[in-house]
Amino acid sequence: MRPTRWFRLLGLLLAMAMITMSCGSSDDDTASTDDAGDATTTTQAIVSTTAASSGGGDASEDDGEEPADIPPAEGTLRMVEFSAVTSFDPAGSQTAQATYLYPVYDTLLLQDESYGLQPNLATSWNSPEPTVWEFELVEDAVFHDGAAFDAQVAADNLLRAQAFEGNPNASTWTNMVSAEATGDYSLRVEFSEPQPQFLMQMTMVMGMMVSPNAFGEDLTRNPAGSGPWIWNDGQSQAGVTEVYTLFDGYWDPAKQGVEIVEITAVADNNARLNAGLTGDAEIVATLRDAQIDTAEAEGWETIAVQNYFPMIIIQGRSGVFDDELMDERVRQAIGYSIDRDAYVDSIHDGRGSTSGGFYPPALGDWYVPELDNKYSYDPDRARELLAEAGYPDGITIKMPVMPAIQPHLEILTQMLGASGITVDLIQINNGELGPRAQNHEWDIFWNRALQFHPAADLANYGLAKYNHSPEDTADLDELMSQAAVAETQAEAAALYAEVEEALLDRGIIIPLGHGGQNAAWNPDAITAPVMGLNMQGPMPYGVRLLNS
Amino acid sequence: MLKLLASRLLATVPLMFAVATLVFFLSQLNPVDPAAVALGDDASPEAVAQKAAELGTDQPVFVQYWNWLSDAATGDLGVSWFNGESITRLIADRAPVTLSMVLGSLLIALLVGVSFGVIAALNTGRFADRAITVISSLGIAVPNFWVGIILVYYFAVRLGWFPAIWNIRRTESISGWIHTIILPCIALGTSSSAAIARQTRSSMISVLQRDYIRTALAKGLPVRSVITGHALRNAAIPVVTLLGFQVSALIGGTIFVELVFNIPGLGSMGVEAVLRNNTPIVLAFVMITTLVVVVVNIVLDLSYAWLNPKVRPE
Repeated sequence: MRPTRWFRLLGLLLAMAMITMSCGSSDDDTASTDDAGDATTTTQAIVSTTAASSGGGDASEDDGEEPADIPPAEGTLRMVEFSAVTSFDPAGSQTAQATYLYPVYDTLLLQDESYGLQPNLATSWNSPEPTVWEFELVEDAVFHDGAAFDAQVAADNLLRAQAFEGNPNASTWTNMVSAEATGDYSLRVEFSEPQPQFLMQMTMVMGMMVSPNAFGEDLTRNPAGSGPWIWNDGQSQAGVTEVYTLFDGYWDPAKQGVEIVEITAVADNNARLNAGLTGDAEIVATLRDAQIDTAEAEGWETIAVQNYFPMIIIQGRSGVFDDELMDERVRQAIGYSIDRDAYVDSIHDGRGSTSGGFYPPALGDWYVPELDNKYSYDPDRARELLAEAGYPDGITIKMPVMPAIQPHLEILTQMLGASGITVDLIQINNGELGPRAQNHEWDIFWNRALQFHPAADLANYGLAKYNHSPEDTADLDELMSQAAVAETQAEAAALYAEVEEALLDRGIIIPLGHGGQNAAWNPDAITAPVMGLNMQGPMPYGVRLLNS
Repeated sequence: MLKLLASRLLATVPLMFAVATLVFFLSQLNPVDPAAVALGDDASPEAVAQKAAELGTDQPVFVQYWNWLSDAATGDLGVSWFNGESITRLIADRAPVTLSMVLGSLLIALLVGVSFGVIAALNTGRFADRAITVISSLGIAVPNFWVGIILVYYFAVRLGWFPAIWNIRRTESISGWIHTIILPCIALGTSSSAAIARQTRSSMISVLQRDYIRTALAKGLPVRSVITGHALRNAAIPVVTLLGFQVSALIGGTIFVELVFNIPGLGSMGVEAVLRNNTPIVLAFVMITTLVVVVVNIVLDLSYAWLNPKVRPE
């Protein structure tokens, strides 16, 4: 080979490398695993998370479809997910793992594309009194092992979940007093306190029904549901791909659009998107914000469910660790120090809501426009408040940081530092934030929530779970109780808004904007999937291959 | 030769025990509570305590050590703390994937590295030699995961010639398997190819200057047979030594390459276990890696003896 050819070859190699570095697919290392999406990219509508929650729901309008009208299930639907399934037992699963459980388990209720409630195993529901939920159930559902589904099985499932040791969703069941069959297909659930969020929880892993034959068995790698597909142990490989094959005796064939569902865990962000772009998957779950443009440029549709709410929680306001935080003005100063625009730009690639309230516009029922500009970024005002509180030279506070949230804390440290608030970071390990915060090891910390209903959300992050100064929120507990029994959704929303405003004014919660859970799907290959609140990926129900 | 083999195999027993003990106690230095990680941020302290009891991590460390060691000695490496999967089964599923990648990349490294090294040695000081030297320097400097990203972008995403990720259905056939691991093997074998090319070059240059090569050429033997029959075999000993290091490097490199291509091998299993503090899998991963490296070194010792009769034991 002549020297000029060698140089050309070398030049070509170098050019390829440089082009790749400059235009390579995106990798958003700074975002958390469930980061935000943009309202402009979402294919789903403004939400109605309370549909039929107080007045009851009914499946009657769906009953007219004859099975003969439903085309047979064909082909294989392939999804790629961020992480592998850790347990197939709904009682031992985090809600983020639901993607793997939806094919094999039925929930009592379902979410639609607007996050409204739809019938599933429960055909109708009502609340005769604030602490009671009653459900009418389908009569022809059977589990994969042949066991019949009825009200007693449903009641036993709820009791099993309540008694399940190490249940990550234990708070769902804390107030449940009883679950009983009042007829063959009539279920009654009673709580010690009103649970308006219970219906929405019944669309998640908490509402999944396990075969009574499997009670007492280890379901970690042995799911026992009644869902449209049966988990196939022989074709699945733990930690790699889970394969589900059609359940012939399924009670609702309309949900069975494909014969086989495959869900593969792909941890690397680029590899996950590449899997879709090269035709190895029709659905890419857990899409990063910075990957949305790439996916859409390739003709993919994206879904962004904006219920990711990052925030600063000031849970200790009695001076256990940081005396300065006892003063409400200091806490408000922290609120004025946060530049939500910059935070959303940095963490969510500019995709997300910078609303200063607890709920973004996309969560229509609970969104409070009046809170949008509450405590907008104003470092001068923050310094004034600190001076009024007797800290003209600023203060130092301690906040925990773990590797998974490092970028969030770096930004916050800079923002707070600009107002004279020095953050002393305490290094902890991934997975320790929640339990150690509940143990009150810090007064103030960063946290995030996947929101679905104020009754659960506000209790989770402001009033109960992370509240070590309950003496100054007792009046808000009363408002929450009133909201839970409100006769109309508007009345409840107004009461929840009052609680939110109080949490802001008292400097208990400092919102950092809103992000979302993103997914992408190939419109040339499949029909549109639905992804609801608290889901890391869309549900496979009713999805069909276009070319099958 | 058998005595050599037997003594090497016997030496692995205390070595494996020492590694097992060291790794176990090192893993105990990790302050992360696996029960908390398994249940997630939203778990209550009570649920975490319950999970710790279930995993046995609330036991005294020496009790945990004895339980693990006695089980491991019988071949039972335990179960994953996160999904209860048998680690022995996990390794059985994943080891063939990683080993095929290591062997494939080793093959590429040998073919490319030795060929380029010989070409460079035969053209010392000329353009081909300089070009190969520059390319091999580049090959050593560039990290294998970066090569992997470039390969995926052009040959999988843009051109569609190869798959971007591992697919269990596609890899059910031998041809599908090979098709899937070509890009990972190239990514993994690039730096080894470069290192072997450089070593072969310098080794060949040294051998080609020996008297017996000059004599063979003077006797009128064809150049090709002098190179393959005399020079290359003698130049191979340092290359074989390097190969031992390269196998270890390749096993280490699989950690990154498997992530880029989403290959369900031992490397990605190890990384995931480390990130999630899944200690039983971390321990198993280290033990398996140690065993492979020990076996490779035994094979290399035997190959020295084959290549050079002077180092054969009496």
